Amino acid sequence: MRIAIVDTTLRDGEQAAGLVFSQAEKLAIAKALDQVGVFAIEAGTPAMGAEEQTTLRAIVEAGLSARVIAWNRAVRQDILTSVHCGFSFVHISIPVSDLHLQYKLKTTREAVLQQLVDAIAFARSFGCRISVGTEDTSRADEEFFLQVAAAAARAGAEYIRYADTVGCLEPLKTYEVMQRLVQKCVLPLEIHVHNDFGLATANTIAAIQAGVRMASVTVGGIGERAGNAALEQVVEALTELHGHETGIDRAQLPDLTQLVARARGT
Amino acid sequence: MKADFTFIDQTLGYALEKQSMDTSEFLDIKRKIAAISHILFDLSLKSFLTVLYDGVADATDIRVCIQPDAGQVEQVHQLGCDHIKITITHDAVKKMPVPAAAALRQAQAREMTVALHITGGCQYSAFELRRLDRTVKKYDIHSIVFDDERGELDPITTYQNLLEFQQAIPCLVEYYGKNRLGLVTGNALGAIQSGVRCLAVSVGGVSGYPALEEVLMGALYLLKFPLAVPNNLAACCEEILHYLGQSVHTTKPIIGSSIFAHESGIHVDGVNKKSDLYEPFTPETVGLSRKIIIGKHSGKASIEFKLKEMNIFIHPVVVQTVLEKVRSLAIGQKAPVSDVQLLELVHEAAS
Repeated sequence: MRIAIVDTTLRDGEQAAGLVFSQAEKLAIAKALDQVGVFAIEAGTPAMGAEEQTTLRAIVEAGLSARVIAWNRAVRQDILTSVHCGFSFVHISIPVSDLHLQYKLKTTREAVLQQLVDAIAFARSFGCRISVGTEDTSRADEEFFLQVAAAAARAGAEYIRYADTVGCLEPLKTYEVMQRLVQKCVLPLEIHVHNDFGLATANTIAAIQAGVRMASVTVGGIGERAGNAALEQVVEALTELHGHETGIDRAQLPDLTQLVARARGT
Repeated sequence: MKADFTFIDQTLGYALEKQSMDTSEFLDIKRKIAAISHILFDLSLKSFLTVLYDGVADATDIRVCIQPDAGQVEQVHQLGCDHIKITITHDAVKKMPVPAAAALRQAQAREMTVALHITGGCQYSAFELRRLDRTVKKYDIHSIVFDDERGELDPITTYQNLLEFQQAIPCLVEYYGKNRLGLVTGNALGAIQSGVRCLAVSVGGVSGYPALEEVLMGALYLLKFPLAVPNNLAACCEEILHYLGQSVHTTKPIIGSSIFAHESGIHVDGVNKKSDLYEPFTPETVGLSRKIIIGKHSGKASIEFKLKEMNIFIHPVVVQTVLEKVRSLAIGQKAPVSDVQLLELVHEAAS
């Protein structure tokens, strides 16, 4: 079984509080990720400003084999900025839990769904290929998530990210939920989990066991709060315990983790 | 759901094996670990003898880990401890070696509480399970330790294997796993969901065991067991690890000092509106505090929040200018922006 590794070291990983990668470091990490064989590199958020856009342009222009993806809110200006940076793959994210819709965005399910569909259409008008991110999915209504996936698929998205934003899944529940969603969801699923209870790698593996074929990871598990699922752990577990193919050259992982550690100043 | 957990601590044993410890240190670290939850301490015979020699007489919450040797069984009994763990290899399940059988008979005769720890793999054939069932009944064994020290299992298989194992074994089953692939806390929760209530753990995941604080909080918050968590858990774990010469990584789940640090604009905006948008439990639960970091990923809400904290109010238009300067400075210095630097940027932007 082939599992696609979607690395978000340069986007969600760098969002670890206090962490900054320089332009040279981001470019070197992107090249190393490509070299190691990841399916996709989530390179950053162009909407963050001019310096970040310069860095991301350099990554896009580096001619990598991996997909290079820009992270966006479902906001036209974000997407336009990504397009101007040269991205042809864009990730468009919306929150899907009622908690986030009510307290953070003060909006409704219907409104956020429409916002997503409009954003996908806008990105598609530039010829972009699209993945959709759903934030706080593990605390969202499952039927609404499936509704979002269906709408995103109709609008032209290629796959959808299920995010355990505050790391509140555990492996058995992950397995049970993902088994159901793999059957019901019209789009391929990508699992993206956080490590607040020390379960990020375990939940990622459980999702793969349930039939998910894409895993979002960061090198060394870096990320907000207690971090994300660690690329090297996920790859080792998938390979050693389950015999899955990941396309990752495991021999190069120590160099990659050292490169990221040096860039973090650790 | 019953929450009659016993966490079998490996931290103290590890500490005693690795370094010399005087009586007061031993008692302090033991007291601190015992304050976290219901704890039984696994100590090697050598460590047990050391602490006894140092005058630590109370062995009520200590289990002595010994080889399958009747002499060691008798020695531990004579020293006033009646709780032992005897380690045998997986091969011994099919045919119990004579010394092991003698040790088990000796423990039975002394009416000791015996755990049988089987090393060398956690896969059992039907024949092995029948033999084990017979051994448990024959020697009045209190518990069997299901050993995944080699980290061969994931949480789902741990759960499934332990369900079958417990159905076949007529006594308590303990879970003993190590963290070879980053799965051990998940495995421990899988064990709990299968019905296991005794788990080998260590503070901070020392020596590769499931981290006590992660299992405790996972059982409480994710599996909904009514467990008590001390509100100084983070500090307590840090002090214990300090005895071992180890520090807590800032992003260590549950107890790391930065796990409630927020920088990205979206997250800061979120936690200011409602903390559980981006926090699975409150910092106060474990005795930590929230920090707002100003840096490359900050948004306008972060700047406004930080300035409000400092009793500084500026025009929204100026906030955008400050934010751009903040991002530029953070990228330039490859580090977050300090309060002093932020103030300087505010003055620059406002003048």
